[in-house]
Amino acid sequence: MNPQIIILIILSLMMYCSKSDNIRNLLPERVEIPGWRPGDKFVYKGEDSLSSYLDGGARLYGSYGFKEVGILSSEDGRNGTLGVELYRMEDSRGAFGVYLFNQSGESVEVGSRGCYNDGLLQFWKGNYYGRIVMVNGLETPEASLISLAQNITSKIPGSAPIPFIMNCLPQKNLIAKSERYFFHYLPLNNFYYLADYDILKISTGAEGVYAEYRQTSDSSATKSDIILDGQPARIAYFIMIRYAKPEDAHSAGISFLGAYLKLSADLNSQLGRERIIVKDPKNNWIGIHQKSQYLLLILQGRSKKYCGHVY
Amino acid sequence: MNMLNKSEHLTRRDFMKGSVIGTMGLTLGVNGLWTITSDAQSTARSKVVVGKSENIIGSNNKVDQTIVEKVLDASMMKFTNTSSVDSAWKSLFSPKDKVGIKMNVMMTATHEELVLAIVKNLTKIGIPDANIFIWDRDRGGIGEKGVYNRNQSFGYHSNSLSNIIMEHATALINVPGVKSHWLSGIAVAVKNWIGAVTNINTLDRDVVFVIHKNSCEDIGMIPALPEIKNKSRLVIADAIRPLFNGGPQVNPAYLWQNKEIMISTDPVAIDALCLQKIQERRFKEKGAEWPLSPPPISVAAAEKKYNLGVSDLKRIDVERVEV
Repeated sequence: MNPQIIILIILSLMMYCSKSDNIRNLLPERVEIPGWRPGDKFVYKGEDSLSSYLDGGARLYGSYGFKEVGILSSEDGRNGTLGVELYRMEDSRGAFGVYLFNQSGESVEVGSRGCYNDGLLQFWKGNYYGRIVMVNGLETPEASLISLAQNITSKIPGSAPIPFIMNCLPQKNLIAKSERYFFHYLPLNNFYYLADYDILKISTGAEGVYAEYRQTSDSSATKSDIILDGQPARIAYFIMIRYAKPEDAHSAGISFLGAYLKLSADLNSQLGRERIIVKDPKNNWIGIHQKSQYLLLILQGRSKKYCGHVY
Repeated sequence: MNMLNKSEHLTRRDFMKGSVIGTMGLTLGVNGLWTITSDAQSTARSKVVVGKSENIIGSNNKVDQTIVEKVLDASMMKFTNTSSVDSAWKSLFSPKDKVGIKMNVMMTATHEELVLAIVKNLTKIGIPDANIFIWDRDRGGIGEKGVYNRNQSFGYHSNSLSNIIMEHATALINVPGVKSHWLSGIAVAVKNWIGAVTNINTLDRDVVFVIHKNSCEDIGMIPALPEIKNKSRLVIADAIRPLFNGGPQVNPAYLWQNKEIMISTDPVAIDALCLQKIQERRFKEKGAEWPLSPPPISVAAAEKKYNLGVSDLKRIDVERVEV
């Protein structure tokens, strides 16, 4: 075999091993909480391997570009368990996406972004998404978990910007922490199920953002609508996707008009020129608008006017 | 075989309109609840007993062994219409049986206290400890010790099914946890059997069992395998602390103390009841429409495509017992 090829193989193996070692090294050696016994540390690489840990849930991580996860477990011997999971994704947008997918609770200062609720601390930094969960452990675990997470993030060099499309979200009436980021239809289907396939053609290299909005006037809200800040409020669901080219956005829009809205092909020529607004079977309004390489959808709008002016 | 032609796809709009009733039996109804619709030709009925105790969860969220045993005893007697615990178990199992208990160890795992309660009852009716196999995937344990120590590798048969099913057990008990799920909507009794086979992967690439596509519509193909179906005797669902959002990965904010177990011989009826329960909890949590996403197609498909039981709540007789 050509010596250069052999050297290349050795270098690749070294890089592979180095990355594997990295994720182990990023995890703490032990959990610095008095009384907690150090547990096992292990690594899963690739989606197939992750499925032995997460079952079918591995597909979701796969859709965000999962590479490997390092796991450290610990227990207190009194029914309390602690799990530290550090996921390395293919790039920072995947790590950011999976963080947003899971985010819940109050913001905390860990990594580039962090949040905490009910014994679960999550964070994003660079290509890494981390989650530390304590079950049946300390009465007030937040400070210990933050300290543990900061210990990890301090070893992750640099940071990464949030994807540009996130900055395009209208801020007015945006429901806090409702925004999600994706580049595969599977996560989108978990926020708002549209179809059992890639109806919006996201796999063409597109990226998207989903968010929920309080509709500008809640006068039509009833008690059966969502309760926000103690008041009934009607929610509109917003999906914005940025495609590589305007033609891709147009093609995805036509797919949605035909397959989802079952509209006649006559309307296809309107796409890209004006907003198309129609009613869904439950009498809510749906707005669709293609603007250059962007496709915008408003779902469950309270009025035609709302769908026409929201963006 | 898929329920749809290749050219047909389901959309949310189809579910809202109920235009897929004939094939899928699943409709997104008012208040964002999934409704499994009745097939006029189906008349089969199923029975589920729901056992509950307010005290089943003790301090530190630990399941109380004594209470869970009492709930199981009362539920089994109710389910079998018998007046003693022994006769309840004897009506379903013989001392000659070798029993495989398929628990779930993934995330929202089956509580070991419930599994221990089952093992104790099996030994009480004369089944030797050595003839009780507790497992998930290729790891398991034997008898009472095996409830907590499941490090023995049993492996898989050449047909990709667990060797416990193929070589050890004459009877099977399905003991799933209850959770919502990112890929399938919910994961309870029907989905629990995925942990009894190998040769699957999340991309359904070069596998024997293609189960993940279309919201895991086809997971019913596993419990429909004759090797499993013919040995299945009982389903005992651990709905003590289910997960109502996300899953299998757990956000503790979405666990709730439901404090119930469910008993049936019909895994689909158990899934249908759990679907209703999870949806009600989501509605209560958000105060409004919050349908499970993706749609739990597999529940209706388990009846209509795989003939595993009854998915329509109108044809499920629910009896309750409180301890």
